[in-house]
Amino acid sequence: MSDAKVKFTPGRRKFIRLSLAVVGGGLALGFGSVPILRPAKDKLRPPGAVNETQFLASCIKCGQCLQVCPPQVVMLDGLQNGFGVGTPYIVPREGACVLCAGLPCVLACPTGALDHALSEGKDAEMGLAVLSKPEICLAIKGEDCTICLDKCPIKGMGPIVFEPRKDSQGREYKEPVVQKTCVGCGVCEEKCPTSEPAITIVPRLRWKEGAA
Amino acid sequence: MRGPGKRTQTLRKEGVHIHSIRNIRWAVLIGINLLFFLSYYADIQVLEGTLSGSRLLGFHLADPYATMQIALATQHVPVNLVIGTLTIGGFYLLFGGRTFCSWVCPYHLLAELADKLRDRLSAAKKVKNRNFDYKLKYVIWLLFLVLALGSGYTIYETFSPPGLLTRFFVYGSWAGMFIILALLIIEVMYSKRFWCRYICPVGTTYNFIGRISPFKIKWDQQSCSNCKECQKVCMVPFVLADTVNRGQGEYVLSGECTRCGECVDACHDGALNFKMRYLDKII
Repeated sequence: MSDAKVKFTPGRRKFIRLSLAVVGGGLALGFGSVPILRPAKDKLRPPGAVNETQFLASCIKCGQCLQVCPPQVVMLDGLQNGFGVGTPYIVPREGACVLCAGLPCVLACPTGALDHALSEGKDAEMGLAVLSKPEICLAIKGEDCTICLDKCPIKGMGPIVFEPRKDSQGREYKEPVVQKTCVGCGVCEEKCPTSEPAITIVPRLRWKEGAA
Repeated sequence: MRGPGKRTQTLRKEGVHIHSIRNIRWAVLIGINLLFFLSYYADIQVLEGTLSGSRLLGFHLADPYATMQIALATQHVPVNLVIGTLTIGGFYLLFGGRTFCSWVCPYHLLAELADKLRDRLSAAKKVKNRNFDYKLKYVIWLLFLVLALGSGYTIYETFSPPGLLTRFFVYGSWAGMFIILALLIIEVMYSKRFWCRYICPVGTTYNFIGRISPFKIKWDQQSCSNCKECQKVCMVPFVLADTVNRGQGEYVLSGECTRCGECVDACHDGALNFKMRYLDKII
């Protein structure tokens, strides 16, 4: 209450000393914290996300992509992920991006963290589906399962091709092979009927000839 | 226009306090934050986003300090961000800069309540106050811009209280509330309004805008009886001291003034009022 009587300029020398301490400490703490605050693992971002470093810097953490998302699959990261705090990500197994027409999340982004150059879901580069657990894949076990391909929102461009194989015992089966047209939306991971998904998304992975 | 007020007797009785402006201000502050909440929770889509960036009926708004950091960190400013920042900058250029703090920022409301607790504890001699130099905030404002440019990340945005708070009640991201709680404890136990007064770079950006804004508190020397009630309620007391005690012109000029209107409410003589500085002369 007695603030009005307090002297608010305690002298230039004291101020300069305090400022130098704050700047020195701040710079050391700030730059020192970068490797700690930078999340080591890339998360699956909504379509159109620019490269991870630029994405973390340009996302204004407003959550508008989350608000406009029709299937409501976008989540916001927490404080435990450092620079990732407040940035949007998707956990495909809990709810995958369905690459809506018009990409409302991209249009809602005020900062270009989701690049407006992207206009169609089929051109997104979110990541790549990988058959991470072939041993539990029903198709590889010999069953007639093509759910990952059936549910894929990229129609008519065959992001997954079932290639006929024969193992050493002569047993015939089909192996789902991910193709170049996969954008990493994660619907296959969400819909995979095994208890754990046999096919999963690796965020930001790009397709290479022969790599699959 | 130098020297103290001219009135010899006060109009209202000593110690009479009305809160008509505060009531409006709290209603506006809660209303705006409720719009953020309801736009997502009840999907009314009026004000979508957070205090860092949002859309009002589809029109982009952005926090100028966040924009500056993004521009420095990525060396690129997307057009929507420019639109949003110019809109917000233009609005506060008209309506007083740190008006944002007392009329919009949810942290300010919590800090006001913390102030009340502190004043009580202080009266009981349980806590003492520590004052720092107000200019510290300019150093910190620059510091986080340098950090954004140097590191390529918007380091300040990871813990910006308005951002943390709006994300908490719009999206339920509660982890940041530990930071808010820690700041409030510092404000109560250590230094009054520590964050708002000496640190907050968001408020500092609005401070710069507020300096040139015409929307100011006007002091009428003829009506003032020097009771100093205004300075007792002022949340940034020196801004009034400059004008009312030292008679530095008829307007409260400091960018630190949040145009909260507590002084207008408290004035016994009707000597303090909101005014549009240049419009005053035209009309």
